[in-house]
Amino acid sequence: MNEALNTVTEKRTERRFKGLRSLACGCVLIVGFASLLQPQAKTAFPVTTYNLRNGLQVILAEDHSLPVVSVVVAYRVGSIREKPGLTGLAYFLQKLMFQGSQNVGPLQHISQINRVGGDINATTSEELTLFYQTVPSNQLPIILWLESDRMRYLDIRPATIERVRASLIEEIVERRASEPYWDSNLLFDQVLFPNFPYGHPVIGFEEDVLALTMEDISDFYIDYYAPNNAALCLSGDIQLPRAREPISRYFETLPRDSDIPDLPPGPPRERRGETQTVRNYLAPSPAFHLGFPIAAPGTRDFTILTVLDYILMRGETSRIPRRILQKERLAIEINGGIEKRRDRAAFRIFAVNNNDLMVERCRDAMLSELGKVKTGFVGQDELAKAKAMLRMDMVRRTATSLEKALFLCESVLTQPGFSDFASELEKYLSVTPSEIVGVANRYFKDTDALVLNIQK
Amino acid sequence: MKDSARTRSLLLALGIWAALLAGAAPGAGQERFRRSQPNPDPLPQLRLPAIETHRLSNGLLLAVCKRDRLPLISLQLIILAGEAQSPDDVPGTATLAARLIQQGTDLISAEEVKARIEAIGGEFSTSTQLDDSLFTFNFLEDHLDKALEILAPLILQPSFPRRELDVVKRTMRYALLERDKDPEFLAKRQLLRLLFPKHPYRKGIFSDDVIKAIGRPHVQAFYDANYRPNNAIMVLSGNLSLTTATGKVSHYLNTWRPKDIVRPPVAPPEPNLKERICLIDNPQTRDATLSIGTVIGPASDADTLPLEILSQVLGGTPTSRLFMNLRETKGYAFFAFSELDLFKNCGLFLVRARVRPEFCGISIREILGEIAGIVEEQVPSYDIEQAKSRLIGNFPLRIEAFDQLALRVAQIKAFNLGEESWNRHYEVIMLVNAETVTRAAQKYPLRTPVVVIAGDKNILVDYLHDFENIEVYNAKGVFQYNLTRGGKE
Repeated sequence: MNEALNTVTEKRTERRFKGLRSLACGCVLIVGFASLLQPQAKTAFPVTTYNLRNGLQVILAEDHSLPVVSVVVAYRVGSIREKPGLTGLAYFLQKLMFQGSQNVGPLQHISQINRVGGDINATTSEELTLFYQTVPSNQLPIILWLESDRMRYLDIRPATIERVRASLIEEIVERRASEPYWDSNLLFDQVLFPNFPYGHPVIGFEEDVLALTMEDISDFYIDYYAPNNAALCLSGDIQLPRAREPISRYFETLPRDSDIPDLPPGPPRERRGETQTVRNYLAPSPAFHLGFPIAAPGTRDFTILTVLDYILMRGETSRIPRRILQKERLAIEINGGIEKRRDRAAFRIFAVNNNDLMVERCRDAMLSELGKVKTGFVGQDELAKAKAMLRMDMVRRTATSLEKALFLCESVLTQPGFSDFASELEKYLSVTPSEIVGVANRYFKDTDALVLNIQK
Repeated sequence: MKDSARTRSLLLALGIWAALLAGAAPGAGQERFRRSQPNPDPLPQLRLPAIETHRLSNGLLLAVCKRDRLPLISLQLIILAGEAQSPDDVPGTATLAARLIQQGTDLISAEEVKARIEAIGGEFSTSTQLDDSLFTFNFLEDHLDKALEILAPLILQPSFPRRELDVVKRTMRYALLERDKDPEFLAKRQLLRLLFPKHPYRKGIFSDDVIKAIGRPHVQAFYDANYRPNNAIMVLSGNLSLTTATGKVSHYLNTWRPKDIVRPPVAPPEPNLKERICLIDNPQTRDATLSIGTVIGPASDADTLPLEILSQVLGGTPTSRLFMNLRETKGYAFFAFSELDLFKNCGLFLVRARVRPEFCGISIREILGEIAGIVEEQVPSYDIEQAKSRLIGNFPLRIEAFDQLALRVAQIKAFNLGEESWNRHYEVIMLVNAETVTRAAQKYPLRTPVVVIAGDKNILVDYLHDFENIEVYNAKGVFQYNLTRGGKE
């Protein structure tokens, strides 16, 4: 094979020996997710999970409604694993994964999916990189073959790297040109998530992407694209005993790599408010960002804040859009809500206003709405509405085989303590008005507010 | 034909290259099964849920497609009147009427409607096409009664409040102005204007300037004439039976009164028979956006499926002829695809592409050459079978979501598509062969489409010398002058 692949293989071999030390505990583990679910609950669905000897987590969700299957391979790597000067690597790798591997030609993966009428895509977040496809269920062995090949034997060539780099740079330039508030968004990310791993853009900084070397890219691939750092989910028309055989054939034969240490938790963001102002002459209107650091995902406070997010921001009749957009017309547009990045989370709102006076009045109105939830109980009807919307959103996240597979991968890999769909939903449905008052007082102190004003 | 062979050769070469590399791989210890693609299992059987129908006493056609996988119901209400039925002098009325329906009644304010929908976790949306107006309501299954309780007064007693009319008109106008910034929209809009010069479908291509002319009386008259149960179809997909649905829908909509609706037959638009190149001058645009189209038969026409297969071969995917030729081989285009747009009265065979300005003229020639090639020379059976397997494989993916399933059923009923589009769909696809594709392709003037380019005239004009005459329009679509080889006319 080419020189680049040789290098990747050698480095892999070197690291595999390190990984062997932890192989002893990689025994097969079969967890009956189905047994954890309530069969009578409509939102529950049977799930089987187990680990391969090489550490790959396998998630199987059987559903024979239609003869289709979704296959998701999720790698526990995203932009938070990037180092200063090497931003954009995770997203770069996502693009590179479609450019061919040792036994698969550059267009073969996409064209195979197209040929059989399937859908294919990939996404990179701060925490995960997910590759996914939905195909007629008879194509399953081919998809497993394709995915396993690029998990281990990606073909990294200088010409391909340059092609991907050019398309990424074009994407960055286009986003900057088409989204006038993009730079301010990145700046506010850094205000909300001041630790470098959390606060830089997934797409990367242009100068970093231009400077990425072949070695940076192949090292990142070797470090993070390993079975013991991934989950494989099959959802749809699969036969459970039969599905295990091709999974074992194509994936269990891949060697385990060295274990990836958890990122050390960064220092929590100091809870002290600050206001910054930047000028952007290209912005069509003045605007501002408002945010608060909040409880970590997986905690009870985070669950309560999620329900509060529905009361404040979700839907047209939630408190903030109703007041800002409908009653007082203080903004041209607003968006936002809870945003989580691994073990960090924030509540943030972005508003575009007609003039600087409106910026001030709009921000005051938002803070006053946050003040109201600190001093008064949310009514039962309003709480029921928030929970109905939340329940609908959760049900919709499992409405197709692909949505279900993505939901399962994300839940298993990122949600501490996730057990099953029904009990996850129950956590939200059990939130009470007094708990909401409690979290509002803990996390929405006026003195903790982080503000970034954008002036024209 | 030539290019198809070239495409296949390219793919074959890529395959051989990959195989050679695999054979020479340093990972000599790599398992043999990794070196070649495994075979698929046999094609699985497709068992679709039955579409059960019942016509209520007031004429409303109710269709139920039972799915019990999730606690969700998707309700689609189709009113069989769209922009083609808007008054000639106020296009946009159908769209405005549909949007105003959800703005309340004399007794329920717009805000109260939104609150009631959100209280059941519901999602409500409207869209207006050329032939129909569609209302989609998705909700949790335990809220069927409440959902119908919300929907019934909106459909039966809309008040079209003046304040909301102004708000919706303003929103529509901004949305249209925003769309004007998209070169792909500009090119497609102009193409439709040129293909439908005197046809009712032309009304579907209205600009922001007509919105202000629409008044409440127009909307009320449109509603009175078209929002009738005997001119509507309701589809419910979810965990419910036809009996339950019939009982509940009758309970809430039994006072909806029918009315005779007479529509004179409309002839399909005249096809374009000679080369016609049009340029929309959209200054400051970096690339050239192409929208190329021909009028074909309606959605219910027997030629639709062979033409769909032809379109798949020509430009259905990134591995089809247009993409492989214009982007992968020659590097002229960012993308190039073909597709069908199907309506009740006629359909369109379309090619859309975004190309580098310096290759604009040559790209148009390449596209026209690809179209001529696929029409004149019989498509190889291998390509036909590939396209068929793509359509067969894709069909269940498109009906997986509850709302997509309900929408598909609604389209089948609205366009009278019959079992050929449902239980017999695979069977009907399998019957298509190279002869039926060529026959369908040669029945329509696919070789002489209207070509619309959206881009910066000052840049593009240097790359369009090859064409005898170019009609130049401004960004609003108003004709400016003809650009001939000899100069401006």
